[in-house]
Amino acid sequence: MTFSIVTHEAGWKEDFLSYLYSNRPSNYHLNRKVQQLHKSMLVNGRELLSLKFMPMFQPLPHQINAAEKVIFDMNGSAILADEVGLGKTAEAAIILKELQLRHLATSVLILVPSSLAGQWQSELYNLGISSIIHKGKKEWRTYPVTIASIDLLKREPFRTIFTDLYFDLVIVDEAHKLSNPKTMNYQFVSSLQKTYLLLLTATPVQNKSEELFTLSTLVSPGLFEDKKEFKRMSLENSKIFHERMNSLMIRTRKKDTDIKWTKRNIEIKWLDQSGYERELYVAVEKAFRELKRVNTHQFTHLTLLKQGCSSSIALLKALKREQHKDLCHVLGPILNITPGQLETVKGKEILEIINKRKDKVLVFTQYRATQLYLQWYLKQHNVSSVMFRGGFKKGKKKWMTDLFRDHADVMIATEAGSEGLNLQFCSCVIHADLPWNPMKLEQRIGRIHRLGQEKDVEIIYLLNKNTIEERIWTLLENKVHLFEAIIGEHEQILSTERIEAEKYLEDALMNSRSEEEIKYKLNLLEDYLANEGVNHAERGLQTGN
Amino acid sequence: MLKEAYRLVIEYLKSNGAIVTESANKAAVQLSEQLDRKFMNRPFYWHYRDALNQSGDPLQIMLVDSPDTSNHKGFTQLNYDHPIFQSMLASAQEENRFYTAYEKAENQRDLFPWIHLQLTTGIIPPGPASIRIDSRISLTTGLILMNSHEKIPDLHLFETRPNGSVLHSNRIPYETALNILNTRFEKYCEQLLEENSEQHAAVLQKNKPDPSISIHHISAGLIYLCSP
Repeated sequence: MTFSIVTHEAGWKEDFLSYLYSNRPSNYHLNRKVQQLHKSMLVNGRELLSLKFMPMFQPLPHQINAAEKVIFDMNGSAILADEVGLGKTAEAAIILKELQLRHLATSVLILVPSSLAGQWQSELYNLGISSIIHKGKKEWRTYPVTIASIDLLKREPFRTIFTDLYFDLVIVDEAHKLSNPKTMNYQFVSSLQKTYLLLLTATPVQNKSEELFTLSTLVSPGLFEDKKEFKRMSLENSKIFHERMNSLMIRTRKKDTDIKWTKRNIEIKWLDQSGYERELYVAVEKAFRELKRVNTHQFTHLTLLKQGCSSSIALLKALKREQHKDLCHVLGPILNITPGQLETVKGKEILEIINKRKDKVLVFTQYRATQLYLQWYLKQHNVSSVMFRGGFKKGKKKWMTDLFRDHADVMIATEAGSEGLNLQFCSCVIHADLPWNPMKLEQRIGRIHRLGQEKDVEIIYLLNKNTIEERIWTLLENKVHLFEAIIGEHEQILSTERIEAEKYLEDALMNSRSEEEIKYKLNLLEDYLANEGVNHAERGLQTGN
Repeated sequence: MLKEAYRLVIEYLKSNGAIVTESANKAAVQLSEQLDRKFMNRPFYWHYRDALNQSGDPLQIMLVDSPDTSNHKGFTQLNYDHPIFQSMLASAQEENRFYTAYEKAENQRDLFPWIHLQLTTGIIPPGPASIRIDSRISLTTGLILMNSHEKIPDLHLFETRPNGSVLHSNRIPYETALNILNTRFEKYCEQLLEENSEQHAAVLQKNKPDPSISIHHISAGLIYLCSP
């Protein structure tokens, strides 16, 4: 074993000799105070010094445990994969501060989606850690903690500049974006010179369990020999595999914490489409049957009908595309409308809910057209709202969030770009339409049902009767345990079967040619989960156990 | 710990010409021009004043030792987390890590030079407790005392030289003394790592890098004691 001594105050000997020879006046009284401070900064074994230094911050037990584990057992590098809303940022901040106080991290790089840079900066500032955001221009400031967008730095000229630098600690937020080794994201992070690495993601596995292997190659290269070994060990589900995973990743689930989470009150509202909205929907359905008869059916009808359930304008906008030319030809004069005809039953219902609640409401939709329509519709009824979508620049996103918190009562958002959004001050979410991916529902709800939420959360689903939404909902409701297996247990992130099941579910709903085919595929999926998925769960293939 | 930091910053500001009015958990500070220029990040203001050959108005700050949401009109409020407080704290430590002090004894006029060194050691990767090492070497006899092995007598030192005292010059050059102390210290570090060998064995099993000793919070002084 070779030992080395690292002095964090390089040049002190020369400085001291210079002091001795210069006969400079000194202040022994102040030196005594300095020494008292240094004595108070001594730590016992496995004691987090950072907790003493963050007086404004009251960390939760699971956050302290995670920080202790990373600092003392995982050598400062780990995947922090807590569930959405459990405060991964705070955990990373404790670790950062601890490494700083122990003189182990003097240069820190935090890579985040550009929309979250401001949020990271303000959260770190609240915890007493100052930082700068690299804006992409020629940056003249040097600072111990730099926050930057990974999309900016992975490209030249910044790529070369940053890969030439050395960082003591690199933190990557939304690290699931590194799960493909062929991407620039992965290659950039891999090429950074660093001592400690923290990867933050609530969903380290999106599609395949191998993605976790890819992340492991960044945090702890050599933990698994290769992908084959990882796959074999994960299938064997051995004790060694669990030990290795525990040395790599920390995953806290909401149910594992002592936090008293507020309730989720779920309400499903069945609404009858009426007027033009219904006419258009029925006409599109009918036109599809007609096209199917003449064999030019393109199997995209489910998507169009889904858009029709969101709003007439979303459907009309989709019909404008070149691929739907034939369909428009069949539909004919029904496509000529006046703005007054655009009113939807969901719009009316949302307005009624907002008027009744007199409290902040977050509305989610998948479609931009519906988003614009809802804002226009609410404005017609003197309800001001703010919009939030992926295309906004980070400054605008922060501005919109601030406006929603301080002024507006309603935010209409699309899922895109809402990652990491903290809206605990709002306690009601309305799903104006349903995404195919059940994970997205959880992501939507996670915006408001997270740490800091003090009220019970109202979750309202608006669904149209006698439409595709009813058919899908009924199918899912009849197979409630199937639904729970995918949504309810989604935290079992290593369960490849469940992730794949989600893919099958989407395939069954999106690509089936008939309702019978959907039923048949779902039955197969149900059998599969009963035989494989449950067994898998019983084997307990999950970390943190 | 925060209290110690708070006290240090107040004393540091006082010693640099600030006027401090203290109450239970806060202190109003009228900064001196020198302190304002150094910490308050107002280069344009001071440049403008200098260009006009006018004296400036240094800022008033309110130091609070615990989280405080009250608004102090006319004062810049600084708590521990504030970057300005942090830079004041860093300067207070940096500027006062070296000192000269004297022992006082009624019947002793001769005072002999020693070098006094205090530092904190920690082990990387983190885990074991950190240790504050207190050591000193006589510049007359080369005698070394280090509290790692035995409890060394506490010193009662004063900033001012006692009246009528005779200071002996050093026989061992400062550089040599520091090198001797350093060699002894490195040996001690090796012992420290060996004492923690069990933990390191575990560390090595986990494919972690070789452990090392980190040194920080160094404070050194030239002291004059009654004993050579």
